Amino acid sequence: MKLFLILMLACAAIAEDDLPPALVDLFNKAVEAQKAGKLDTAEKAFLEVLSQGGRKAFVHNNLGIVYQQRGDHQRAVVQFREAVRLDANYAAPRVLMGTSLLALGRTREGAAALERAVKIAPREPAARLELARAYERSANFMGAVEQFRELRALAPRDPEYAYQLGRAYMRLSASCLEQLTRRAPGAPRVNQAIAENLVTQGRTEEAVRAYHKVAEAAPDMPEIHLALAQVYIRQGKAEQARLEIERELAIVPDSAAALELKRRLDTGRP
Amino acid sequence: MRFCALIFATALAAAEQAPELTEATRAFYRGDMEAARSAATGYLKLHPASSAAQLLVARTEMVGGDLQAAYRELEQIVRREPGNADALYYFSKLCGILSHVEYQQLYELAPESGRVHQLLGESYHSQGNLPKAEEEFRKALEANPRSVRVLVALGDVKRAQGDFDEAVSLYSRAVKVEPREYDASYGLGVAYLFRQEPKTAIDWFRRALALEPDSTAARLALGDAYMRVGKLEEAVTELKAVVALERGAAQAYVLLARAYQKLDRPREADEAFQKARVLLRSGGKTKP
Repeated sequence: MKLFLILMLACAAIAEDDLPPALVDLFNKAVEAQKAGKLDTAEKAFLEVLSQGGRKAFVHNNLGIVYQQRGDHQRAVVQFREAVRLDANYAAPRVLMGTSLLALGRTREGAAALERAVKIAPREPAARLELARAYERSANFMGAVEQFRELRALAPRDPEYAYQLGRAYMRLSASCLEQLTRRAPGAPRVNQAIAENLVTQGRTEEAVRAYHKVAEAAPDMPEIHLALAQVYIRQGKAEQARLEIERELAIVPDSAAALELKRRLDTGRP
Repeated sequence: MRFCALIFATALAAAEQAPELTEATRAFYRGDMEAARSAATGYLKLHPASSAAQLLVARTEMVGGDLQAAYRELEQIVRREPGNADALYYFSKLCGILSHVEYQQLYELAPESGRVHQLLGESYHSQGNLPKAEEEFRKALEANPRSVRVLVALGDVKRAQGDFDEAVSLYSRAVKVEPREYDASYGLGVAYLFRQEPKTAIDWFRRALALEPDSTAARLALGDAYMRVGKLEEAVTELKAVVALERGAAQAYVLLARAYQKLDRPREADEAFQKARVLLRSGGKTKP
């Protein structure tokens, strides 16, 4: 609803300049009916404006909004397309067309319309929000992050954008792991990620097993024995931790992190 | 930077392949980030396509707390080489950290907002603390009664608690707001299945599959629901689709075997049981 209002209200001001004087009142009545939720009245009035010589982009845009509010996205898209044809630099119908195309499941077309809208109006939050939605739908999580980063920059104090960006990052993170697992199931990096996740959940026994799998598959891989040492320390198994640190140092003799952990173990303050 | 210790602990990665990068890698392990970054950057200038060098640069930036610079480097590698396991691993890790940074800022900006309660709810849910999760999700819903994500999350909590009537009510509210919401449709299917209403469950699983055709969970559940109403051929079609999508789906083979038994196709039933046994022994998935 917010999106509709933002993209609709601007039209009322333009109407007086662009429409024949006889149609301004009719157009304004249509807008009022639309705002009041009287969609049938609004549709009829907008159609009248069009048929009486008011074929302007913003009239088609508003008629498209009426259809969109009714959930008739097919007809809405027709009106938004006409608005764009009449005024290629008008961002609002492109945003709304993108929204309707998304609702119709035509994600790629929706994203294309929204990308164009963002180019025309880079500071318009509605365009970026909808584009981020389109990207998420098509599993383009990097694209979604990019849009939310821009929104955060536009409104740094807006908590909603902080939430949305945090969520987009989280989805991208999960998508990377999914790709990794799909491309190389059972690979050391996959098991390493699993082990780290288990540590975060406090499931240290399972984490140890997962780390051992990595160490068996990739005996020279740095960081694994160090991580094992840290888990053993959490479990109070100092001797096993010491052994793992030695193994880590055999792979990476200069490892600052392993040497520091060894020093802390030696001084009894792990 | 409070994330540095965490990043440093996890950023020590496999030895670089290119011998020219050995010194940079050593410096990295020594904790001399200046030297590591300088050497890796120098190498990258001479070999702009070197993902190993760029990855090392990104790791030094992560350790140094310049998370945005690290993001840019890793994003470039992943775009260029979508199958680079090291890059995917570190990019995933970095994005997880960036996500926490944003959530922390959200908490600072609006500590009592619905979004904060939602995140707390999700956190309790992932820890298995359902009563606390419910409490937070309800506060989130007070702030925004039309939040599809919260309605679905609370529906999941109620489903996990065995309150299927309440779960159905919550998922239905979510679908009313957003008819194209997969999780709500899937949740409705599962809740109806538990309420012993398989015909209604079938409708919802079909809707879920229309939204996410590759969902093995929805397809497996649809196969299960078909079996319960005696539509065995339809069940076989769905279950075969599940095992084609996910060969380790032991539960699908179990259901498939039962369907074949009921269809009086003993040889196919034996084959499916055999596959299920092998998968279950090797730890294959048993649940959708």
